Amino acid sequence: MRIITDAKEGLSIALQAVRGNPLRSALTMLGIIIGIFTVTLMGAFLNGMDQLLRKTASSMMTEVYFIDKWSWGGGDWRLMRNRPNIPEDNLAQLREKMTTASAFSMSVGEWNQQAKFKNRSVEHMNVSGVDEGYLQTQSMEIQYGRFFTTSELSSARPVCIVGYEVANRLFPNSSPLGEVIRVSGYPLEIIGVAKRVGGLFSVFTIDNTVIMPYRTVQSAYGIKHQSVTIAVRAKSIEHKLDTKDEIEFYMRQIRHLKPNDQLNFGINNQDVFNQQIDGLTSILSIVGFLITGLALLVGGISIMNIMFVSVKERTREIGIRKAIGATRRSLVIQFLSEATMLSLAAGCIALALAYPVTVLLNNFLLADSELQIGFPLAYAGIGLGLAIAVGILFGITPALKASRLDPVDALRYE
Amino acid sequence: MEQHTAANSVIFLEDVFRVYQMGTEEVYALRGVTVGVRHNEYVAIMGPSGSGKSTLMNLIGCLDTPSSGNYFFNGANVAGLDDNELAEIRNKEIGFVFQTFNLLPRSDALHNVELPLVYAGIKKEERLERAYEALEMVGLSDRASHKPNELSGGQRQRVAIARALVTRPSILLADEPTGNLDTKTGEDIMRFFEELHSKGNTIILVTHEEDIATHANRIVRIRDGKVERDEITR
Repeated sequence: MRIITDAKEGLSIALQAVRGNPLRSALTMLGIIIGIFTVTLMGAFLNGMDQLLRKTASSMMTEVYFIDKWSWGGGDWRLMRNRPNIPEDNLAQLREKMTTASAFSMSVGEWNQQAKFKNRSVEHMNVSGVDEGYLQTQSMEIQYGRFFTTSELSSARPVCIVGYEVANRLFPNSSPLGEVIRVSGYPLEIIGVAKRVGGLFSVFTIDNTVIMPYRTVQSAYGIKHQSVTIAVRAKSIEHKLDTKDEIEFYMRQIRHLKPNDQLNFGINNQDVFNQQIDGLTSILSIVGFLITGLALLVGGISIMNIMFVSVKERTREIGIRKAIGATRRSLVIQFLSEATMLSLAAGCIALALAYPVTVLLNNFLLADSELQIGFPLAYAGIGLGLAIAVGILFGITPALKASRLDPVDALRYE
Repeated sequence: MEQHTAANSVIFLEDVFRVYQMGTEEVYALRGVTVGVRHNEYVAIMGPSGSGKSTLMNLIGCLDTPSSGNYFFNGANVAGLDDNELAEIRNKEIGFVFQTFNLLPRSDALHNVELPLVYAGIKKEERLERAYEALEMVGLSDRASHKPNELSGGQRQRVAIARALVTRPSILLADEPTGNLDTKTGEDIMRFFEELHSKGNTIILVTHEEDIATHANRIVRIRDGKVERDEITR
C-alpha cells in the first residue's frame, strides 16, 4: 500500500515539524481549535434548545384544537380584537353536531394575576377556569392531590389546583395541599398540584397557573366571561384534519358565515408552535453555523498559511525527495497528511476542551435552568470529521504547490 | 574504442539541446550534445562554470528533460517521459551524490538511506535491512541513529553515497562530491568511488577540478554547450 507508506512518511515529517516548531504549530492549531470548539458547543447548545422548546410545546396534545377568538401564530391584532366573542353555548352546539370529536372542554383565562399565601406571593401568573372535560383535552397530570369533583365544578366551590412554579414559590418547604391561598383576593383551597411541565416558556404553561372550576372564576371575578376557549379533541390523530374541517364547518354554520367569508375565529393547534420552533431552530442553526463556519475558515486559512510557509522552508528538502524518486502523488499525500494531522490534533484538543465546558455549564451556569446542553457522541464525530475536512481542503493547495516544484530549482534553493 | 550507441550504453544522449527562455531571449545551455556511458565506465564530466555542465548533469539525472534530441536510458528513450515516469527512473536507476550532501537534516542516517526505498514502495523490514547493508558498505553502520549534524563532512557524504547505492541503481551520478570536503577527506571519498567502480558500478562524476577528474578513466570536457573533448585517460 503505497498511500499508507507515503502517509506514514508524511506523518513522521509532520511530527518532526511540530517538534521543531512547537509554538508555530500551536498557533496554527489555535484557529482550528477555536473553530471546532465553537461548532461542537453550538451544536450541543442548539440540540439542548430544540429539546427544550419541544418540551414546552408538548404540554399540549397534538390532536386537540382550541377554538378561540384569537388565532395563535400571529395575524392582525386589531382585526382579531373586533371578532365576535365565542359564547358558552357554542360548546353544547358543537358537542351535539360533531362526529369526529372524542372530547370537549371549555375554559377561560385571566392573565397577569397575583397569588398570595401569608407573606409570600407570586405575581404575573395565570388563572384558568376549567370544566369536567379538562383532563381529556390537556396533557396535565396531577402530581399530588386530585382533580375537581363534578359537584365542585358545578357549584363553583372555592378550590384550585396549582402549577409547579406557583406551588414552589408559595410553599418552598411544605405541602400546599389543604392550604388556602388568595388569588386576586379570593380565597381558594388547594386540592391538587400539577406535575411540572418544564420547558423554556414555563410562564405560559400550567407551571405558572392556578386552575379552578369555570364557575369559580366567574364568582371570583364577578363577571360573566364574554368569550371562552373551546377545546375539541379529535378521535383520531391521523385524521385530525378532518376534525378541524368539521369544526370549521359547524362554526361557520353557527356564525352564519358564507363559504367565501374569512374565518372570524381561530382554530388553534400545537402544530403552530412546532412550526415556529422549527423556524426558530433553523434560524439559530443558520446563524450558529455561519459563525462557526467563519471560525473554521479562519482556522483553515491559518493551516493553509503555515503549510505554504512549510513548503517554502522545505523547498530544498522537497528537491532532495524528488531527486531520490518521490512522485508528485507521494508529496501531495505527505503534505496533506501533515495538514490533516495538525487539524485533527486540533480537533481532538477542541473536543477535549468542549466536553468539560458543557459539563461545567450544565452544573453551574445552567444548574437552575431548564436548558441542559447535551454532548452527543455524534457531535464528536462531526467535529473530528470537520477537522479532517478542513485539513484536506486547506492543505491541498500547498501540497499541490510542493508536488509541482521543479526539482532542479528546488535543489538549488538556499 | 568502440563507438557508443543507444544499444551498448547505459545512458546515451543523442544531439541533445537544452534551451532556456529568459524573458524574450532564448539561451542555449546545450547545443547538440552526443555522449554515451557504458556499463562500468567511470567518466568525469568537466567544464568551467557556464559551460552547460550542470545542465547536462540535470538531464543525465532525469531532473530535467531536453528541449530536443534523444536520451536513451538502458536503451529506452526517456526524453518525452512525464514527471512520474522520470521520478521512477530517478528512484530506481540513478544514485545521486551531491556537493552539499543533501541529507534530510531532521532524519537520522538510517532514515536518510532508507528514504529512496520508501518511494520505491518497499516493505519496512526489507527497507531497514537494505539500508543497514548500505550503511555497512560505507562503514557507518554504527552511526545509523545519528542525525546529519552529528556527523563529520566525510561521514555525511558517505551516508549520501549509501543512500545513492541502496536502490542498486544503474548509474551513480556525483556532482562535485568533494567540493565541501577538505583535501584528505576528499581523497578518501575518491578512493571509495574507485572501489565502487572496481566492484562493477557505473560512475559519472561532474567536477571542475582536474585532480578529481583524474580519478576517472575517461574525461568528457564541455564548453559552450558542446562536447569539446572526450578522451580515455587510463
